[in-house]
Amino acid sequence: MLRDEIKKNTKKFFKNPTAVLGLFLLVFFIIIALFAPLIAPPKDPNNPYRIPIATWSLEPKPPSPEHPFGVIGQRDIFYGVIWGTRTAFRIGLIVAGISAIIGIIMGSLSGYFGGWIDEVLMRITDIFMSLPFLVAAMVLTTVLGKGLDKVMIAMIVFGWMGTARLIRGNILQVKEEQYVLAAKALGVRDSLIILKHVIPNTIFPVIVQVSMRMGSLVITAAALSFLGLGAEPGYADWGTLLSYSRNWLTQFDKAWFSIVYPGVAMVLFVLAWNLVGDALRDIFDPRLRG
Amino acid sequence: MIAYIIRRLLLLPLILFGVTILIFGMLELLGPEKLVSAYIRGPEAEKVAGATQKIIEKYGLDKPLPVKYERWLGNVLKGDLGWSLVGKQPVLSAILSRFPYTLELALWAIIPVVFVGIWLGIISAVHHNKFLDHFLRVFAIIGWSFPDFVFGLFMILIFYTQLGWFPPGYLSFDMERVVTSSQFVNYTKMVTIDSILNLRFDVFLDALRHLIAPVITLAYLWWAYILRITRSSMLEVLRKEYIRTARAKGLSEDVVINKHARRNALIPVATVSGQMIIALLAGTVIIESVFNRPGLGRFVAMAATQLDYMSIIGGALFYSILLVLGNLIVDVSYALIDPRIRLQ
Amino acid sequence: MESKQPLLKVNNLKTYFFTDDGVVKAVDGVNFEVYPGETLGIVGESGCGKSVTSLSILRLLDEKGKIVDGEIIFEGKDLVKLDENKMREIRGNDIAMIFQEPMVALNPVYTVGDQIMEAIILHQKVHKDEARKIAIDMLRKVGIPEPEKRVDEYPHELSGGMRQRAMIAMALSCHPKLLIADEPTTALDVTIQAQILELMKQLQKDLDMAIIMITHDLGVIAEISDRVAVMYAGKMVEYTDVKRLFKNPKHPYTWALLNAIPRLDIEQERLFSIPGVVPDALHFPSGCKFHTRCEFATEKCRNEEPGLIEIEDGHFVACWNIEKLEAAKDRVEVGENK
Ligand SMILES: Nc1ncnc2c1ncn2[C@@H]1O[C@H](COP(=O)(O)OP(=O)(O)OP(=O)(O)O)[C@@H](O)[C@H]1O
Ligand SMILES: [Mg+2]
Repeated sequence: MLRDEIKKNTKKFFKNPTAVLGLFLLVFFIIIALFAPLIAPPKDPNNPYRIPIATWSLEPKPPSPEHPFGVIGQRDIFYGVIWGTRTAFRIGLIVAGISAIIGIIMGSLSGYFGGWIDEVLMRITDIFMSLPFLVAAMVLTTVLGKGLDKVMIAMIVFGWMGTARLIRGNILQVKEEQYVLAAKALGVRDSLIILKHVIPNTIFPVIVQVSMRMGSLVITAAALSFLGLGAEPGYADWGTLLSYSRNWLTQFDKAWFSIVYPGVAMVLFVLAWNLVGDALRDIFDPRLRG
Repeated sequence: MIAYIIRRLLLLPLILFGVTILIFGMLELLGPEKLVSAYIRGPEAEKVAGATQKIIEKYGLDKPLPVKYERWLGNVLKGDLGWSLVGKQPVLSAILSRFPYTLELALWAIIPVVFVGIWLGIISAVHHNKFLDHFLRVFAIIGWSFPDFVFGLFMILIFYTQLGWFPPGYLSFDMERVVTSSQFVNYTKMVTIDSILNLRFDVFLDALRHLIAPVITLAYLWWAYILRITRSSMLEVLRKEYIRTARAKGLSEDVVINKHARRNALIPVATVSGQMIIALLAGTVIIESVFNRPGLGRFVAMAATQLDYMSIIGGALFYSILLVLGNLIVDVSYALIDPRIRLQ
Repeated sequence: MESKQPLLKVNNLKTYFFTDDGVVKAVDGVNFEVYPGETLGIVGESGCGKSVTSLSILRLLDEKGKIVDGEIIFEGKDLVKLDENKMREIRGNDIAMIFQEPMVALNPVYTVGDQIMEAIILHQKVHKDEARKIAIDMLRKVGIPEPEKRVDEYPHELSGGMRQRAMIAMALSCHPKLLIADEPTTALDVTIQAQILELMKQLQKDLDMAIIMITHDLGVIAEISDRVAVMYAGKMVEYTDVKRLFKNPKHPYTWALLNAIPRLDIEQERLFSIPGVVPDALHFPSGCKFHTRCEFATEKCRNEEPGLIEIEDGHFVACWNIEKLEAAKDRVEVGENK
């Protein structure tokens, strides 16, 4: 039964050309991230995320055989884009993963116990949602003292609410359904009920949500780096690379490559996740299909 | 319906109270040293000797948390949000003086987003699974994937560096002089409105020229979003039985779609419009920085990079109040569109 | 009755859905006539193509559904070939329709009055105030109390029965010559069902219109129809007047249906308890589509599809084994005859 379902859904997934494109892009980025040390060998293997200084001149240098994507802020853009892929995966997976776990815990407690626990947790959720995500992440990052790790912490702190609401909603729905009532009547312990019935029913929506969030999380982190709050200058991060271009705002003809290469990398990365997430949602949540 | 609004209004102070605790908590994360120095940066500190002590006293910085919170909240309620380093003025007036610029940008962006987004979404749904629909779907998903600041940088690269059409900034140099001159009356501090009230259409056109690129950048992502929501909601509504009833009456397709389907389809769009307006306002943090426009967004971004804690905390408070009130308005108007909720 | 010209004549109608999984032959060769002022019942289990037949008549199928063959002659015009504008003049005006679920068939964001007036303004070309009067009159006629007040209420403020009455008012507001009622009472509880049927009979007399009553409830058929068409898996299997159908069914499926009429003295979960399942419309069996569930099925039934044959004046049956059924009837007593 389950096998058939998976088979059917896999077939469905591969029949959707945009989903295949997304998967293809994603695999492409995974390969780049995995083989970064071969594609762009680090000068200092202990510190590969530092983009080596390529030149002492502050002027940007257009692409050349030596620096295929050009040089900005003395740094080799190609190196930054390749290793920036790893940074992007790390940010996305850590933030999306941890905030999903927090969301699952909060949502489960709320949905399962109901009553005043639910009320309190949901009001806390409301309160955390009362700050625009970008502003909230920015303020918390600043207060914690800048840096990529602070950016990730800030995004986790303000990133769990969507999952919590999703899980709570699903649990309430599952709770209504007969078999949980029946299980309760038989005297199965509460935690067992959660595990056996609720988790399998809610895990797919969470996976869809996580994959849909990956792109936007990477965008937010890059935006904070772009503003100078995230990764320090010289760190292999797409947002940081893009932030160099701010100094050349009126002379972009001299620095176009510093926007185009990291920019395109980012767009494709986000596109990949969005396409895959979209396809997964189509499969797991037919109501939203269109 | 009335009960619903009352419930919302009763929850409002609770939420706002929670928000102040959250923001105060973030402020506390600074630790005592940074906190004192953040408070001390104001002009009071420079004028009087022994001011540090006074400030510690005034804000209760040596007191336990609840007392500190109470003092802080008291000051916030009085409108004292501290001293802004970046603005070189009290935080509240720094925020209020910059907000009109941001509001202007966001308002300009909302118009194309809502109209174009809904229009495209309906087209997409009506042409379900035909070429136009596939095209718009791809357009939407690319839009949704384009980081706004990257899009903005591309806009500058193409429309300023290459074509020279839409320069970054707020106004060109000459026009800025006009606006700051004494003949020009600033009624609203939104230059596109003020220029018309002052009958300076040259200023208006110049302002528009500077607005186009950031407005498109701000709007692009949300077009795509509204398009998708309108599309899927419209598709769902078009499958409803009452649409068949409407057709069975002999109504034309035009009436069926624009009267019977659209109103129902727009209900979910209305809810996200609220989030969208808030997100547009928050999005200006990046867009104003990219396009180098004055406004609350760039102010907050600058405050963050310069570790101007009082300003960013004040900014966060301001944005969250906007968000909470915005959501309230949206929820209430949502209830007004949908008679099923209205009469409950 | 037979001497009159039929108001509607459906000839060999075939409506297929071209879905991703294959072609669904929802209606696969259906013939019937409706005469002015009479009621034709169409009966059959869920999924046999009753709704698709009625939607085909008004050409309200969704984009995947196509009428691939046949004609639908209404007052001399073939509706299959009519252009969309002409078709719209017929919908709601000459032919009106009411649907199964009154709960979802009315638009939730417009008042009942709005939705009734819309059709009146469109087809009778009257002013808004006039249309409102007609709407209120119509609501009164269908037995809605305080119509002046109800006219400004939203659908969710009415009960299910009231909503179905409002639907009927809407359908009848332009005095159609033909009303297609697709299971108008299925979603309602029993007492309300009876009231609605009574109302429809009454209005039919007053307005002199023909009705196609679609249902899977033989009780409803007995109550209201003059003639009956029995459908199975997209085909017509038996077609005759109501008396003969109940007294002397000739098709094994009809016979089984009659034996399965719900009885008030026994609580039953399902209306029909004919053994076996309705075949999947994507994979119809060869030969007679009923052979998989038919106790009289022979080799011939499995291979060759029987045509609809007039075995006596005005009684059509599509079956190879009419005699076998007759023999069986002698052995088993038919339950609940009317
Ligand atoms: N839009 C559609 N797309 C694909 N198949 C459809 C569509 N509408 C109906 N069908 C198929 O056509 C067949 C006949 O459906 P129809 O709705 O006419 O049944 P029905 O006799 O009205 O049943 P019920 O008593 O449940 O209303 C079914 O097998 C159904 O799955
Ligand atoms: Mg039906």
